[in-house]
Formats: sequence, structure tokens, C-alpha cells
Amino acid sequence: MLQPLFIFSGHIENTLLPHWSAVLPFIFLLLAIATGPVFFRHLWEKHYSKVSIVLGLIVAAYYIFALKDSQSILHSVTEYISFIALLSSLFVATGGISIKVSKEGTPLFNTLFLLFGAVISNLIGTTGASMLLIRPFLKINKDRIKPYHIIFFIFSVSNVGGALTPIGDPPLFLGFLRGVPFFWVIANIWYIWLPAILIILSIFYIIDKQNNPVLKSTTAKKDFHIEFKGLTNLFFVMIILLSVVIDKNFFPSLPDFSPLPFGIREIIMFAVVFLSYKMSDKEALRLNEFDFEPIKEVAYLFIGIFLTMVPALQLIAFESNAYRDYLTQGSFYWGSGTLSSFLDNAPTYLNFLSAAMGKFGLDVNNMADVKEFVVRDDSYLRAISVGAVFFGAMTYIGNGPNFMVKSISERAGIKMPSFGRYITHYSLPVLLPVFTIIWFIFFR
Amino acid sequence: MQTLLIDEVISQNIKGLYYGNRLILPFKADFLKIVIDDELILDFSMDGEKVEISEEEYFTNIYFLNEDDLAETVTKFETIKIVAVEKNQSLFDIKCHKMLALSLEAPHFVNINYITEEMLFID
Repeated sequence: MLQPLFIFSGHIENTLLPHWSAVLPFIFLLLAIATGPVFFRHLWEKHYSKVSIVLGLIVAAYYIFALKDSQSILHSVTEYISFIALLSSLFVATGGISIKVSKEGTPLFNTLFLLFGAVISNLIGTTGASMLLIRPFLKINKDRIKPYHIIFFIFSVSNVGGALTPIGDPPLFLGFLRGVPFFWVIANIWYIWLPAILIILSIFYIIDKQNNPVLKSTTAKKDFHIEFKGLTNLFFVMIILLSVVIDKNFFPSLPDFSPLPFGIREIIMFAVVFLSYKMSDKEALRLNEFDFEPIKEVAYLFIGIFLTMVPALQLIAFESNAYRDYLTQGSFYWGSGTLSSFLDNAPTYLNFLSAAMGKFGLDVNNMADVKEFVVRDDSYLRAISVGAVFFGAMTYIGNGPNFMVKSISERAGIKMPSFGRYITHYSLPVLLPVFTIIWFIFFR
Repeated sequence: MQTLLIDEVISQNIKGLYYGNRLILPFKADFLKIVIDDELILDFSMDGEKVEISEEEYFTNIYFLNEDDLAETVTKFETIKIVAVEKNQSLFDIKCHKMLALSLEAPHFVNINYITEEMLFID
């Protein structure tokens, strides 16, 4: 059954609503990501890229030929290219910076390290902070490392930490591009961010305190000392961060390459990938054992996710708009959160923002409307922002850096939990109660 | 030709070899852990699905059963990391655990070094 669709990724469109069965490739891809590495690892490692691309193409073909809607697919491809341009440029630029911390990872030092990472992720993005800090974090804990160290790193540095600025996480940046004031985020999220991060890190501290280290005399360090290699790559990180704000909303005179699914920003980012790799300190690359495989894995899996999630997002957008008058702050918090756990959080954020603005008869594509929405009642925006950013930590696929942190840890010789075990043993018992407390206090 | 110790192989800068998925190490040892790419290998039994190890008079073959070509898997800045114990030393004495980093060099050489403090590897 085809129905008119009003909103997709924040764009008002007169397209047709997909049949519910169009969501099946997305569900199949999620199941494959969850079960493939556990039950048929070798087969999965050889063919995951093909599985992801084929499932994505099935959905793309359905849209283009059955729904006659190439716009939705083009839009998703555009968002994917922006996503992978940012991730790959930060991955390569930070991959050429080696940080050596000569300090043992005590529970207190680790907790402070994660807090530092959570704060810094607001300045260089969760991806940048994750790539820069995961290796030194593993090194300082090399004699007592356990999977929970890495998982709490994913919780705090790769996700929840980056909720304070639009640079921190892509959905907040999309909101900023649409008209949410830059400092609205920190002014309105800090008092939710602070207890959330403190609870998560307190849990980490308690768990880490139980982990008795088997210290080796050769690695025991007394003095705190930090050494950097490849610091010139910070220049490239700065270019990436500055290029993030190159958007037509701010610079209308920017060249428009449409219908090509990229702009000047993506060209700069891909140029940084090439230049920073060529100009990186080779010793830093060697010490980091730099390899493109982790970003290739993300690129292949997420092209499938971005394409197959199109019908899921459209159906959710349709439903949330149909029932928007009944949706509360809590609905937006749990709705954007639950979906951000499995879908990309940026379009999820925009869809829910669109539905919330619809309650007031405002349009997410109009910057003046967004500013008015923020002034009139920003409680919905707060719920959506927190849900979209925080819940990215719920699964390995909730946010781009999660997978990369996992991959770097495995290459260091750490056996990481499977997709399902991550959820059942870590995110459900740790994060869900924390997020429920957040809901109870702030969004009930 | 005599069997060399790992220390001798490293101090004399003797290189191993690789052909396809076969790694040839110029020493004999008991293996505890191998990390190749993001694969962690701990099962060295005859039934192991990831590697097959065979010892010859002076060297050791390691066949990576899930790989077609090691050169494709282990890229320019990467290493294969191994925890091994010399044949004549105690497996149960952790001080005897030697951590090795193997980097590939075209066309078929394998550079063997100890993993340094600066490198990221969890024993």
C-alpha cells in the first residue's frame, strides 16, 4: 500500500510511503552484523562488504524503480558521503598522532582519563577524541586491560561525552546547521550531561577498583610523562573541524555541485585523507600500526545501513508525525534514543525534530522557524538531542567511532564482546538504568 | 644448519619468510597467542580452525587457514604479533614469554623483532 509521505530527514517531500516489507533488508543487515562475526566469522569477514552493498542496492532499486523516488536515495547517499568524509579524515589525521603516556592505569587515573576524553570530544568530535585517545588508554592499562575498559571508553568518550557542543556529535551539528544556536547545546544539556557522565564514570570506577592488576616490573611507571609524535597532524584535524562549518546555510555563495552527492566540505575532507596520510610522521603511523581496514569496515557496513534505513526512517517519520500531538518529551527522548541505538543518529534527530516542530506548526527546513521553536519551547529539542547522542552508545553500530574503537582494540590483542554480548552484558545493565534515571528526572 | 633461539634470530637479524598464507619462522617455539589483523588466535590444537602449525628440523611453518595472502592482510605499518616460548624454556614462567612483532617485506621476507614498550599489544 502506498501512502503519501510528508517528511524524510527533515525534508518535506511529496513521495510515497514504502511498504513495511521494505524494512526487511535493514533488519536482515542488523541480524547479519549481530550474528555473522559470532556464528560464521570467516564467511562474514570475507563477504560482509558484499552483503551490505547488495542489501543497500535492493532498497535503492525498490525506491528508484517501484516508488519512482530517487531523491530519498540520493539524499541518503549525500548524508553517507558527509558521514564517511568526516570519519575517514579524522581517522587518518589522528592515526598519524602517537601519544605515549608513561603512567599506570589506576582506577582513579582511568576515570579522570575518560572524563578528560568526554570533555575533549566536544572540541574535536567523538570520532577525533576516540581515535586520538583509545591507543594511549589501552597502553596505560596494558597489564590489566579488560573489555569493560574499552566499552566504558565507547560509552563516555565515543558517545555521551560529545553532547555539549555541535562539534561533539553529528546530530547536534545538523541542528546547528538548521538554526539551533551554537551555545544552546551546552547551556541546555550540561546539567543532564554532567550527572549522566558522572554516574557512568562512577560505575566504571567501582568496576575498575575490583580489577586487581598483575603489574609487571618492566612496565610499572612512577612518573607521569606524556610524549607526542606526529603533532603536525593536529593542523589537519583543525582543517577538518573548520571545514565542518562550510555549509550553504552559512555561506550561500559556495559552489553547488548538485546533483552530485557531495560539496566543497567533503572534497576538503577527502583531500585531508590523502594529504595527512602522505605527510604523516611514519614513526607515528608505525607505532599506531596504522591500517585503513577499520575505516573500510565502517565504510562498507554503513553504506548498507544508510541505504537500508531509508524506509525505516520514512515509516517512523510518518508515524511520529501522525501521532505528534500525543508525543511527549519522554516519547521524543525514548523514540530518538531507541532508534539512534541502531540507526544513524543524525537523520533520526532530524526526523524527530521535524515531528516536534510540527506540533507548533513550524518547519525544520526554515531557519527562522527553528530559532522560534528553540525560544518557544526547547524541552523537546533537549529530549531529542540527549536521546540521539546518548543512545549511540547502546550498540556497536549506534555511532561511527564505536566500531573503530572495537577494531583497534582487537588489533591490540583484546577479545571484544560480540554485538549481542555488548548489549546484554554492558549497555542494558549499565546504560539503560542511567538513561532511565535521566528520563525520570528530566523528561518524565 | 642448527636450530636457532629466538634471541639469536633477532640479534642476528635473521629473517623469516612468507608465501601466500604460509609463514616460515627460523626458530622453534611453543605458541601462546597470535594476533593477525583483528583476529585473535588462541587455539593451536590439531583441530584449530584458524592456524595449522608444523615443525621442521630448523624452522616452523604457520599456515593461516582463514587467509589467502598474508601480504594483503598485513599492511605497510601493521605487524603480526606473537607470544611464544622457546622450546627449552618453561611455558609457565611468564618471564619466558617472548612477544614478537613480525612485519612483512616484499617479496617474501619477514622481519622479526621484539614488541617494544611503545607498541600497542596486550599480552
